[in-house]
Amino acid sequence: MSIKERIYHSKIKTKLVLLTMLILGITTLLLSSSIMVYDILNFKRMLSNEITLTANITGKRALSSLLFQQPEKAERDLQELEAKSSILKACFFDQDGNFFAEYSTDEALHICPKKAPPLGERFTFQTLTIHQPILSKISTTQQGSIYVLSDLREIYDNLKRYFIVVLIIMCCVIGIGYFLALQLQKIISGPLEDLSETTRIALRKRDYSVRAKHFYNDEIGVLTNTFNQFMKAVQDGRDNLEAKVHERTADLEREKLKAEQANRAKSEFLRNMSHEFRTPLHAMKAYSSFGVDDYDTASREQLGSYFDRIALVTKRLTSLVEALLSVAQLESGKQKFVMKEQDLRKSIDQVVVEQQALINEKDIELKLDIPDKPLMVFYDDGKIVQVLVNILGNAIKFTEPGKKITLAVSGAYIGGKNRKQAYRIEIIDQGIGIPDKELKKIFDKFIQSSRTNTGAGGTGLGLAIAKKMIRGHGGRIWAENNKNGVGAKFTIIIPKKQDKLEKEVKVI
Amino acid sequence: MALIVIADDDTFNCDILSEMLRRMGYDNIKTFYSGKSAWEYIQEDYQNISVAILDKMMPCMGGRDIFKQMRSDSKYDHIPVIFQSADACDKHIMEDLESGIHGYVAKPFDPESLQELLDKALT
Repeated sequence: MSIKERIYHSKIKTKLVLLTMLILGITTLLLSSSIMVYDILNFKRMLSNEITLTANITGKRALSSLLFQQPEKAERDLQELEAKSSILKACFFDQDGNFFAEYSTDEALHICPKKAPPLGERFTFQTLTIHQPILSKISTTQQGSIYVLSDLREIYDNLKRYFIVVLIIMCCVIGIGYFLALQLQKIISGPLEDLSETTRIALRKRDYSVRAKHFYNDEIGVLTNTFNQFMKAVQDGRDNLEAKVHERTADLEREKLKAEQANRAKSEFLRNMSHEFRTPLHAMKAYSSFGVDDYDTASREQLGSYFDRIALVTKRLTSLVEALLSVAQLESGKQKFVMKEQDLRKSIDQVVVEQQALINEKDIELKLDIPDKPLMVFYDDGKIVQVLVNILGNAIKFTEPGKKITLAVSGAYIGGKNRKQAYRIEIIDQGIGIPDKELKKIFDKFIQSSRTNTGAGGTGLGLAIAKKMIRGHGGRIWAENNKNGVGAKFTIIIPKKQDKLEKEVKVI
Repeated sequence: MALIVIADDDTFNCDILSEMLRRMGYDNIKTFYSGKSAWEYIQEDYQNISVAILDKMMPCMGGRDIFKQMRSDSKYDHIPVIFQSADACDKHIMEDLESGIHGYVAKPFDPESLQELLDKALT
């Protein structure tokens, strides 16, 4: 890496110090050298003035020697110049410009020009020559001229002194400057270093809660604020994301649980269905084998009774298959409701007659509490009968022999604001009741009361279908346990009038 | 003559079972249409009962409940219990057999398989 690159890639701190030192150095150097140049020029002028003055005095003193042609005296006069050490050589020229007398500090320089050089002052690198006319006091006419050669030793001595002073000053300035720069650069590099350290930590630890320290309201301060805001946004975003992920996960868990429940319910349903099929199959198998066994010995009546029973269970199987089919149908689509105005008592009678055999068999008392007048209602006969058979059937199934079931019908209203006239049908049993937390659930598809497991069988669909059927009529159905703690009560409310006489309702 | 107690909430099924038993030659049969009445009878006449054939699942008190009651008192230990049920799930049958019942028949079953269980129970 070249020095330039190394400087470019160095730390801000180093750059700041270097920059300060560079500026300081250049400034000091420029200042010192300009002062030095000025001083040299000044010194030169002073030297020339001094030499000129000396030459003048010496010239004046030697005026008589010149006038009276006394070179020895003139040489003595020149000897006075010894006091001025920088003067190396001096000569007198006469009026005509011929060599007259000379003074020299060094024998080697003992050569003066024979003829006078032009007047004036001349600087060379190492010497200063002055050629000055010597004027008479009165007439101001030129009586001769003086030529002086001086070296510049004094100037160079001064220059040397100067150089040392400048060197010392520069060292001081650079030393103090370096110390100050080192201290003061912290104002800039300190916040930057803190900010960059903070970003490094955040990145390394993936910790978005760290914040950079705010120092001053300069650009770095603004950058720090922006960075902190950015970090907060990232952190908030991440927190939100986490919350969202949690929420979604919980949703999925719930959905999964639901799906699992539905799956379990379906398995349970299939198991129940297989039970339901096995019982009538068993009867068919048994009676047909009885018939085959007794074919030769039994009476016609005996064989007939076997066939009757086979026919009966066949009917039971058929209705089971139909129930299955209707479940499939209900699942796949809509059911048509045909509302006709008819006497609700007729349908109830039909249900009671259908269930009578079972009621008698279990020695259950069925108490009917129905008004003694036609109860005219618009409804789909088949659907309501199906619902009542289901609910009354359940009541019988779960009630012990000898106990009582009540079926009551009374006037009622349904709906809040636009309440309509309706009838309430209540079926109250003295059976095993329903656990309170299951009172709503039992109307769900494939859900049976946990007490059903004691053995009553069933598809787990009856109440779900019943609910949809009653809803299809714009009515309500619910279950509750009797206040005295014995048995359950199912209530159906069905409005007398229907908005539409024919409609299709998605039942499940 | 061996006294057989049978219980099933399905009266139809009860009739079939008793007819089946009669055809096998057992005439001394007590039939009950609910678990509760069967249990009451068993408590009264346990000394004379040779075997009990119970429907595993009946409302209020099923065969399982009756069997549990019987196993809580050693005076019923001599009565073998056979379950009949429409539950043909292997897992459930295994559970029941492990609980100590004598046998299990899943509907629809052949008279022969019931006969086999009864033969073992009555010797």
